[in-house]
Amino acid sequence: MKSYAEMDEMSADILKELGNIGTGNAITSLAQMMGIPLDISSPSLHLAQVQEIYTLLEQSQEVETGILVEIKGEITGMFLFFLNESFTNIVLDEILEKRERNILELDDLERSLLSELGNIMCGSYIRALSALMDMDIDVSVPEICVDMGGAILSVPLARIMSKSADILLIENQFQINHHSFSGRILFFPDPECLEPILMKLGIGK
Amino acid sequence: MNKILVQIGDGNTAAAGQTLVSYALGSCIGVCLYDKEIKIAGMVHAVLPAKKGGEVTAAEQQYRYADQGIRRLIDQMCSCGAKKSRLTAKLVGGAQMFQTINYEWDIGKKNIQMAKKILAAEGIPLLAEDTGSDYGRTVWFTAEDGRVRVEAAKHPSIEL
Repeated sequence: MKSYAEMDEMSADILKELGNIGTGNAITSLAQMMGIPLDISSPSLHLAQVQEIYTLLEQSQEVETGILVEIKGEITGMFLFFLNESFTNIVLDEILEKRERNILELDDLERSLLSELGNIMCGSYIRALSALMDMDIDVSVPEICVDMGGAILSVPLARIMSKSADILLIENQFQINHHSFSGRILFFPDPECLEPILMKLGIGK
Repeated sequence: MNKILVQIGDGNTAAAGQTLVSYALGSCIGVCLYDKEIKIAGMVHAVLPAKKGGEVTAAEQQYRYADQGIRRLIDQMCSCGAKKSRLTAKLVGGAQMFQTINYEWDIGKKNIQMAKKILAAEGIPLLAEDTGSDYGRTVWFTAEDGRVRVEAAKHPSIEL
């Protein structure tokens, strides 16, 4: 499989299920850290042109926290965790201290806590996948950015677009009982690792 | 106001009375070209400096790349009556959103460099820019007078 577009429906379902398993693990870790139960919505798999991704994700000017992690090894690609403003606040309130803050001006401790959270969530996601597929996968040090969601999203998109004409994205959303506290996990597997993933799971050609 | 959206990886032109807008440029580069005499404005929101290997892509994908995107925009504007010799440029975007050590990801800087290179090669003067640094920008480009307004979450708006 040289491009995402060659993927059939069964492969798409399997990738969605991988997203579910990974997200389940990642969210369990996050909920434990926060001491608050979190809900996960059903995953979506987007195979789209770059412009459509923005519409699909309703991503634009709203300020969000983005945590970017690069993965290497037998599977390569990128993870982007988005936390909306209220979710960012509640995470910091629960784990550090309750205070009034402007998320555009986080201090060092708050930034490193959020990166660590990205690290733990990505680690849990990837551990679930690597156990399932028996593949070695490494995770880079997370990078954090708080800014317009659309501007953050352009970074992984630029990387994917240097390799592929369209974008493949496995998206899972999570929230705290109320939708105003929400976040999402975006997993962008590189096109060249789809085939090895599907082979490992016994449905490759 | 008659607003025309320029999405990521796309380009568009506008005439007097219309405003081009591109939301949330991160590492992408927004190239604003203007023919003052007939009030034709054009904007491209390019994601990457060039296609790998420098090949020219299908027309609908050209605006993804700064090099072929700018050239396509010039053609598009000329077909609306603009004259290449009258065009001037303003640049916005090309930020480094993540302070990553991986140089490959600093696509913002490469986008700025490529845009400047193409403008110079095409003989289009660069009048102003708000580029680089580490934050996202939204661009409003008014065809009536060629004004470019840049909005950011982290900074007050500025005009170019």
